[in-house]
Amino acid sequence: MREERLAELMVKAADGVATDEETEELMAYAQEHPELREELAAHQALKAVTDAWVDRLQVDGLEDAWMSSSATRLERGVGVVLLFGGLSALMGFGMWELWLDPEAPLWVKGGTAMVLGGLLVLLGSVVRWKWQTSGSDRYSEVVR
Amino acid sequence: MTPFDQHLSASAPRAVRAALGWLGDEQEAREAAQEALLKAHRARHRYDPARPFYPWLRRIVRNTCFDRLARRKHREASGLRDEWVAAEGPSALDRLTSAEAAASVREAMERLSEGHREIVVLRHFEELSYEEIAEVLQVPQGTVMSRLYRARKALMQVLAKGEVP
Repeated sequence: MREERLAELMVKAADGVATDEETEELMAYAQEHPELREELAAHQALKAVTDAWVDRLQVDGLEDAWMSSSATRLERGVGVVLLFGGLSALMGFGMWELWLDPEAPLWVKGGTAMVLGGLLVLLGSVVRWKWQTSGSDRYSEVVR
Repeated sequence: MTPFDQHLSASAPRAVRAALGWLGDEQEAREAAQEALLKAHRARHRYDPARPFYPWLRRIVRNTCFDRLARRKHREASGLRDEWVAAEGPSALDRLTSAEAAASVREAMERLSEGHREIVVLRHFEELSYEEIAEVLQVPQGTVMSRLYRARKALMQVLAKGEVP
């Protein structure tokens, strides 16, 4: 078999685009040259590895697109506002009730106030960090 | 959105795939593609709208990847690689079916010649047909297959023995 023909058959077979006739021709030739079978298997495995890479890239791209879509950002935003709004209302009301309760010991009132204060400071710190890092994308002007 | 921006936006996924082929690392490929898109955006006045867009962008992607590879080579300064070269052991097929296949292919790709790597990138990563590759490289389709076959064989040899044929 001519070298060019062998190259064509091997490339097509590895890429999975060889016709039945081409596959038969290659397999018939491989009967006389058994080393070709392992070579073909290696070329097919190489294709599988790079295909998996490209697939992974596409999946990651879809995931990124989903995460940055307006709908996702809106639902995350609404979720966060409702969650923290509800928590603030519940904790604020609870704290207020506790503070007005004459039977509650002072150490319980003080301790609860400290826990709430700590939570608020940590929340403020996270919000401040998110705020400062949100505008640092060097390439934001480029249309993706 | 201008027609240029539309071209840029539509070509971004392909640019990332091409960069992945050159660099072998997804994160770095995304960064390189972003960098290339930014360069293209800055150089938009040099683009001739009468000519196809992607070949123009491909050159920018390729050059950006070459810059990164040169910086990477400078950083790595051999060492690790030599151990691999000296190691006798698994065949190319063994390496390709092992859990570390992706890492092995990435290393082997770096050792290929520019010509071999280019045709692997065009076929495996940009997923162009043989006909399209022939158009890009301005060679007959038969030559594309011969080059691709030789490039794959070269890759196998690097995988098996760590030698560039």
